[in-house]
Amino acid sequence: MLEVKDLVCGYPENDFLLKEISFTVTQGEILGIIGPNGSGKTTLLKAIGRVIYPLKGQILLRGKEIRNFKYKQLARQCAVVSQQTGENARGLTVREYVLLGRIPYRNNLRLTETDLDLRTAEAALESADIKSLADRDINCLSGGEKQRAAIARALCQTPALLLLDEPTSHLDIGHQIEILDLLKRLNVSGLTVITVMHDLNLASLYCNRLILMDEGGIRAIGTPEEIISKDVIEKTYKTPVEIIKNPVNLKPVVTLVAGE
Amino acid sequence: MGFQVNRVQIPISFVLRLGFFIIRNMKTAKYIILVIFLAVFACPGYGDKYPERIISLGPVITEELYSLGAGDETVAVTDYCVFPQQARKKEKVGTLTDINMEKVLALKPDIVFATALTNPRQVQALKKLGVRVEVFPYYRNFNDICGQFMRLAEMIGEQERAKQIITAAKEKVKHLRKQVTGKSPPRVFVQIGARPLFTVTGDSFINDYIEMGGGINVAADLAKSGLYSREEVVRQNPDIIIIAAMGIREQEEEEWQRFPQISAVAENRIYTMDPYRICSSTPENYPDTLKELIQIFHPQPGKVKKNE
Amino acid sequence: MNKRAVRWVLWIVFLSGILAGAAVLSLYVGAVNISFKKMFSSVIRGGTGVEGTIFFHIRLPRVLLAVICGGGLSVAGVVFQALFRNPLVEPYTLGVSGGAALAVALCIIPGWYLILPAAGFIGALISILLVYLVSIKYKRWDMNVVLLTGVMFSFVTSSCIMLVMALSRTEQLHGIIFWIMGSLAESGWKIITVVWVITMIAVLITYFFSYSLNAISLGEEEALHLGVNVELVKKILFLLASLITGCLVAVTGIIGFIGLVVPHIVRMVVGRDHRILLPAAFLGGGIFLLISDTIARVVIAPRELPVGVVTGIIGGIVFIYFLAHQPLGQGGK
Repeated sequence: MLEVKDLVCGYPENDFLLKEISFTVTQGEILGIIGPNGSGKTTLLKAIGRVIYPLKGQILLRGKEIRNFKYKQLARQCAVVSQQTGENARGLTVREYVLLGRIPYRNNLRLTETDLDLRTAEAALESADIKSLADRDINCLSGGEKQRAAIARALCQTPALLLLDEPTSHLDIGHQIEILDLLKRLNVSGLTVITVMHDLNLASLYCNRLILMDEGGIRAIGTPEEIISKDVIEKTYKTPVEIIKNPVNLKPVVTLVAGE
Repeated sequence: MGFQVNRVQIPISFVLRLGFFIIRNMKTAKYIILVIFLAVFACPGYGDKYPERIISLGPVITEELYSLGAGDETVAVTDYCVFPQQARKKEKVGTLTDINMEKVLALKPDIVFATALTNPRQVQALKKLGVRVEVFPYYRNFNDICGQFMRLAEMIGEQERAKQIITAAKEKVKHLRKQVTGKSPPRVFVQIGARPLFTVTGDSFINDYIEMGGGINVAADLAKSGLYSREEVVRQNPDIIIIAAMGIREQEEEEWQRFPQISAVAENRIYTMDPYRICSSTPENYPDTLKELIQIFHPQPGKVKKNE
Repeated sequence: MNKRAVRWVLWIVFLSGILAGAAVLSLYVGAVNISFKKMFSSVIRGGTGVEGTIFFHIRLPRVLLAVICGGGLSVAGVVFQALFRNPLVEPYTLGVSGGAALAVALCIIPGWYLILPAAGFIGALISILLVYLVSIKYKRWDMNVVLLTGVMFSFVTSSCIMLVMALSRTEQLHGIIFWIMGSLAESGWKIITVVWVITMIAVLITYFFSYSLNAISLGEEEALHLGVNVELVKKILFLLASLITGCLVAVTGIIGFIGLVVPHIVRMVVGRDHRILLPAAFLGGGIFLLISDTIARVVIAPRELPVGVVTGIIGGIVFIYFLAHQPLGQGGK
């Protein structure tokens, strides 16, 4: 699905560059990108989302360089839920907001939505489980509901690949699980997901594979069992931890060790 | 249907009949054509219609129209035309710089007299709509004022009266000039604006007034803009300061007291003049204003005119 | 979404009706009240007689100019507010009007009145070009840099104009000041036609970017993810809106507030979707300027208030009223 080869990109004016990143993402998996603050997770996601351009290397989506996609074409295959999603959406109902996801399919000369647009939006609302909120003003939603609306909008683009940047950072545990369960369900029905996660345990629970980044480079790629080990985590995050096993599904859990 | 020559309508049928007559009687026709030619072209004012509905767009023109006896024919003036008193009762079509086009059209004028201040675009628009507009540019000196007065008189058919008025005015001016020839000219600074300080340039007619009055304008070498600095005034050290602007008199008089090194301030020779009088000079009131200036510049001994 | 489409169509019909009514009122009122019968016959047979001349050569051009100027400035205002995501931006903020005014002032000095609109337009185009070239240093066109450049350019041109005014003679000074105060008067049919053609084409092209504008209002990155070629769209829309502004300023002078206030009021009433916002702003702007101009013409007849004064006062009051009567929370539906 997605291939990243020797990618070098970033912010040269700030002296921050990713160091020759290479990895592949297979169709149908949930890939988590984890790492300390400033390790380049968001930068990597932005490169894949075509917000910043590679200085060296390639990013191939289904074999084609993303640079060579037309903007609309790319948006039909790949949808992004960034950290700013939902911030500027004032005065729209949830349904109107979700319908914006059909823009990549919109013919500029046609002023109203097609039936296909409307049906896709309804389906997206259902998948994201916010159908009941469809007519409410988007600003009146809670954090979790807004996030689901953002995902619904992304789904409206009927993408093959979904990119998310820390989708659960401002949510309480209930909502966190809600969102990730949703992503899991979507993944089961065929959606490939790449998500930047800050919570190692959630990443461990939900992701098929993890990429651990540190200081602009990939420290390790592998399953949660391989990555979330005491050695690796302690070296990367520079803080003492203990790894135990989740009693329900035996996935590794990071427990923190307090200082003095 | 016909065409106009010297504003005499000549119907086409008459021309055609004349043409046939000429062709049939060539010899006599020659004499007849000559007579007609003279009658139509050379007879000044024969059959000429002078404008009966006049609109004046400037106070000077309004005053002059009344002095030429055309007050009744004047159908409308501007807000600023306050002399003579009768003019205040006339219809108003706007200000010096902005007129109401619709009103002008609705009044169906035969001629509109405009000034240099009238908005040129409006002048053009009126012309395009078929209204006859004559523009009177700024006058530079007394001769200009008389020339424009004569031009106005010609257009309304009052040349005789104009000649009389002009001759009388020129006499008065000659007489006044006699009083000042030979006397040493005082150096004068005329202030027409404050903040910023504005004076009169060498090519303005106030400058002409000063020179006719036997004075020297310290800013006579200025050409385009009248912007001046107080420092420069101090340097020039005029003998007389004249404040000719509305509303700033008190503040400016006080302001000048701060520079006692200026001769005019020391000798208490700061005067004010009504700007309307200076800016709206007709041949009739020019000599009066000149007289006032002369009394300021060259006061009769024992009759020193102060601060009026 | 049939309900919404119906609502939108009703709004357009409603606003068009008000616009037509305002136009007829404006054509009727003035130094001479012109009957409808006379209006009709003048349109068919051209202006004859005093009433006909007044109607055909003074009022009709003026009304048409008011509609296109109010409409065009409002549309430009909507576009600029969306591009910069800043509610205080209006068409004149970016220095387009400053360049036009300076060019006009420089032409009034030697007395070249015939070419004033052309000079104003060229001045506007130069301003647009300068602001564009100065702000486009990196691959990504940062709208904040554009805004700053435009504002600075405005200041510079203002100062230059004041310099020109200080060095000018009285009658030139009057000319400059009156031009800057803005006026819908004295425009020939040729100019009006040119202005209508240019502005309408630009407005229509802008309308086809409605979806992109909706997307950009969410944020440039968001719009990018939705498949909008953000860099290209920003440039095209900036150019279109600046062109409209420049074209209108060159002919009418500076009539402020419309581009700032009308977009806000219309947005509060019909919503933020640009598919309805753009046409509603066009109609609303036309209505607003038409009514303001009618008031300016009659309130102290035979003198005329500068139309910018009326738009400022009325615009401000109406805006405050709407602001105060908003439902709690964010603006509008």
